[in-house]
Amino acid sequence: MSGAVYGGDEVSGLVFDAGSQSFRVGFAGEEYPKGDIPSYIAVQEALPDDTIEKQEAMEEGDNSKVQTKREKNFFIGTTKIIVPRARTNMESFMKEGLIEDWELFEKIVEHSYENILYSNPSEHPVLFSESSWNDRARREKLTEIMFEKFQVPAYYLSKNVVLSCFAQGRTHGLMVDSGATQTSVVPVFDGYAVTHAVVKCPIGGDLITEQLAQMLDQQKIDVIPTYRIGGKEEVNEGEAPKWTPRKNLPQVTKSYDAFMKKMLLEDMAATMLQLCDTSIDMDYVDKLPSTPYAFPNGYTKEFGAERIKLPECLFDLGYLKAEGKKDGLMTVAQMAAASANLADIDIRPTLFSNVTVTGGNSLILGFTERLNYALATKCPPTIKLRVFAAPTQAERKYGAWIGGSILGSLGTFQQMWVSKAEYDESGKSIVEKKCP
Amino acid sequence: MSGWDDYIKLLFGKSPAIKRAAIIGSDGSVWARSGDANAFRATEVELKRFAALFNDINSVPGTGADLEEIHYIVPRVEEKLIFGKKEQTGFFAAKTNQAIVIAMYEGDNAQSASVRAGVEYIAQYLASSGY
Repeated sequence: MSGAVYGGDEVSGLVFDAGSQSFRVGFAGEEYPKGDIPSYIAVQEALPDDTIEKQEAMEEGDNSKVQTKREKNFFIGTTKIIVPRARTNMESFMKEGLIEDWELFEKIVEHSYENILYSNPSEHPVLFSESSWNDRARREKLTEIMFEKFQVPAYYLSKNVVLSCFAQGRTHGLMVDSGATQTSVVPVFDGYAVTHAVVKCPIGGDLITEQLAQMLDQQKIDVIPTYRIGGKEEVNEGEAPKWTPRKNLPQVTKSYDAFMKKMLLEDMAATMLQLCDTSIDMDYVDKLPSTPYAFPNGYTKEFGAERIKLPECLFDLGYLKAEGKKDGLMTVAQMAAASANLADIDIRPTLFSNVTVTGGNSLILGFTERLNYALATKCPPTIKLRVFAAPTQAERKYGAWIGGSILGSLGTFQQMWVSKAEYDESGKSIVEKKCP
Repeated sequence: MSGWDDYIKLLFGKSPAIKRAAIIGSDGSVWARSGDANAFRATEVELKRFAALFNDINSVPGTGADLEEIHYIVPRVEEKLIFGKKEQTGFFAAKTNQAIVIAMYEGDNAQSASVRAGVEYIAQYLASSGY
């Protein structure tokens, strides 16, 4: 082993934490990420330009070799993607917590270097987070891209749940990560994610948003996203809205419209939804105060029972209104119990006394208490059960990033980076060896 | 076969964190072990059971592994590798065609990377020599 220790104090590392909802990026050692941009990129198809294509054919001297390659425009960042444009689709580079579209991913990394970090890639070591179910091919591909394309001097890849655990100041824990597309439970022991005990389900923030959309549909409430509204008048609660559509809107795509609707529903979910501390009972539901919500088109309504019933699907699948989607789904508590049971029996007490909740979707009011109640019935009675959760909103959303920031600035970590020299010597398979 | 002892020496040279080591056959028989102050303490019975773990490697993380009468948690296995740890100590065991290379180490996660590399190096060499 060359034992290359990559230079310590002067150069600060960069931490990238890619999620399905947002992409977090910043400097190691800082408290919060500098950039938190949506993981959706607006991709605009350019108009086919006949004259240019023909010219290219003539230059080549061979018509058959002409590629009708159209330049696409990419728009990244909240302020840019919400602008309505023609022929623009919203695309995400992530699927089920794994990177799928590498072209888009490279674009978002480039954007981060240029517009958020204002840094030269070859001057800073980078620490990337990954899902606990990431496969070897993807890890090697990411390693390759960072070293070959971005020429980074040093690199490390860490599991996002391990980083979230560090952010809480612990090295053990049963990490319950409830995010946008997935909820997963991963036991972390001594800084290692026990990958064979990972339990995950495609339930998360996006599912709740869908349920909300269905509910509004049933109540015949139109969800009009903000970009379509030109003007509105104030109406009393419950009255039909009076609004005028915006003029001169470009012909937007379905995916753009769906995305803008989703943003509106997410806002609604964040303000309104709540989880019952214990299993849902009708008394509690009736006594629950109702919250009003004002839609962008001027319509306001109070919602009472729906506030509790919608997120209930996380803990009780009976409340999930979807045909055919229920197969193979588990509730959050079931996942936690299953994951702990897959782990070595000796570490189970440690896991149960260090259950940690993280992820943006866990911010629903009452999530932690409900998990505590639901798990108490599932784990053996002699075991001490304690559920921890970071107090602030930022710490839950940025848990993995913060852990990366802590790790990247530790003195003892500096010898663990994979340096460019090591990559050149051993190739991309070095990531398997050095980044367990 | 005294030749095997040389491999033990080579293994120690790979990482300062390695404290005890052995090379055993797939049936649990000992081909070489470190001795004297760094005596590899696992018993024959233990080694037989340990060697058998490689037959169903994916179930090992669920149960852990025992060596030298200490129970190790196994957070990670790969195709021919078992990694066990307990607080600040641990072991790496890599399987070749007929043998298993085991190294017990004491150190933190950073040092464990070099132990792993050492064990895999020896295992690779043995495998390519036909063992």
